[in-house]
Amino acid sequence: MRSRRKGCVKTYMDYIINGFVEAFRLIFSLDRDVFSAVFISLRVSLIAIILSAIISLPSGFIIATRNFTGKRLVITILNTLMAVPTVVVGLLVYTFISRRGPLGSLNLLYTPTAMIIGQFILATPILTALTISAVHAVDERIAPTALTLGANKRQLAYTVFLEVRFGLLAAVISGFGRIVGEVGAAMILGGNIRGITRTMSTAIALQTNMGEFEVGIALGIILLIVAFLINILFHYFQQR
Amino acid sequence: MIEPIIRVENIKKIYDDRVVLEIPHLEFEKGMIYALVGPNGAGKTTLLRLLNLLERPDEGELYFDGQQIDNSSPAVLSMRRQMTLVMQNAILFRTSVYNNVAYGLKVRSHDKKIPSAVLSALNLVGLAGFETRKAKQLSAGESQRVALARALVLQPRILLLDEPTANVDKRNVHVVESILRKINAELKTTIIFTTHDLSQAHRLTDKIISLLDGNIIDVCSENMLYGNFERDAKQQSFVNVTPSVRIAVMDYEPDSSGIFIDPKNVSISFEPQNSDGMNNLEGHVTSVTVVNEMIRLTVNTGIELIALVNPEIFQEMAMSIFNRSVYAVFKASDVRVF
Repeated sequence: MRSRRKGCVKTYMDYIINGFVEAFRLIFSLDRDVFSAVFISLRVSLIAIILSAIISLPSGFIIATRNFTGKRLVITILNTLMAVPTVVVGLLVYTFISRRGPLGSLNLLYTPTAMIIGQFILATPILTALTISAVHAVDERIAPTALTLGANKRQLAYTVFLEVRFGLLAAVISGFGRIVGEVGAAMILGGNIRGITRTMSTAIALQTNMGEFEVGIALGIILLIVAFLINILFHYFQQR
Repeated sequence: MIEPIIRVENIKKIYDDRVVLEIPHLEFEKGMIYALVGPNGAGKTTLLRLLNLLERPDEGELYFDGQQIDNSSPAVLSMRRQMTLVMQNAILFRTSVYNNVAYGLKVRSHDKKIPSAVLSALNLVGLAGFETRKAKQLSAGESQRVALARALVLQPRILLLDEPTANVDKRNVHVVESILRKINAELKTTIIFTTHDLSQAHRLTDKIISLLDGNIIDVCSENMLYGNFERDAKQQSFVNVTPSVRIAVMDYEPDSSGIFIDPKNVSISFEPQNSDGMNNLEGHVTSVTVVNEMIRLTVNTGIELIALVNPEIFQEMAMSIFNRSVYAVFKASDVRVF
């Protein structure tokens, strides 16, 4: 009885260790499937985050610095949207771009473009809300100081932007972190087509289901390394 | 008559339904130094912010060189660029000391003179060699001096300063004061500063404007005194106004030197009132006048104190009030420290 249990543990350990050994082999042999998923992930998420930043940073800046009726409501809505499950966003975009949807004729479903749209929608509320709170966190003396030293409106905005630059960088990085690892929308909109829309996260989900545990581990390790590198970069900029 | 550099007419500033500043008329002459004194919340900072056009008055007008300031932004910008305000607890931008001092010249596109001007401004405040330091790594006192350099580099016509020496260590207070005297003498800069330190106000100027609860009160006003703070073994705080006049106060603020006692809180009695926290200053009444149905008494206790008492109380004492010594009585808690 005792020896059998011992044997079980040994088998589990072997299984996990073999998974890692195989994972490292895939990484170091530059396995095509693994790196195609990495490449697609980074490309889709980078394009989505850049597009989102182009919209979110200026609009967050404007929402934070102007007073208008309904400002609180806008911020509340953004905060709510931050928490929307990724599958729900996937589903929403799906209804628009599927064959029978209003944008069906564009044939976007199961393309990287569809995934970019989904990830853009996921990232934008986060980026906007974090931009707003970053701008709000700027010391209230900064604006009058810039004005008393003679800044005009444009120079004032630029000065506040410089003060808030690390907060904005943090917003972009958080947004990127949310979309690069998400599965729901990428799976529904991309369809996990090998070499075209298979990202790190969808590959992990699917390969693990199919019993190809080691591919999942390999991609998981790379995903962690990506997150790690981004954080190092962020800290590097923050030190400057 | 020479047009004042700044003229204030009937301005009123209201925050949350409370009038924080109300000035019917005030003029600042070119090339002079003015000190704004008064307790916290008197409206000193608000006045500086209005003069700097950082805030608009809710009522009234401001004139610069006789020109009324309209609120169109080009006019405000060009006026604002002739002056600058150094705030209390000034904040520096998150960049180098050099870039902080260069800021105002940069926004004015005076790029050519930046390097030499920045160095001489830093030199002036005693921070030569600090150019490449990060602003966030400076001490509070150093930051405040960088903020001063950042203003001086502009050679403004009007220099506004909110408590310019409050965060500066004692060694450097006289440095700041001599800088102010120097630029006033050499560049004819009009300087308007607030201070808690009445002796500093007197050291720099005889033009002292006293504010109380948003109003200007008689320059060098009644019952505004200054002296040294002291604390005895029982933790009771005093201000020594003269060697013989010692006033008990509630707050111990060794960095302040000014106190103010509202004449309405001063009463007159023939006997001292010996309860805790009560000031009894013995003296003689030297004058009696009627002001707004109140009796205004001047009592010489070694210093002159004004008491506003109501007529009934005065009538009981009136017969003999000049013939014998009286006590000016007021609570330590009614002494406002600034």
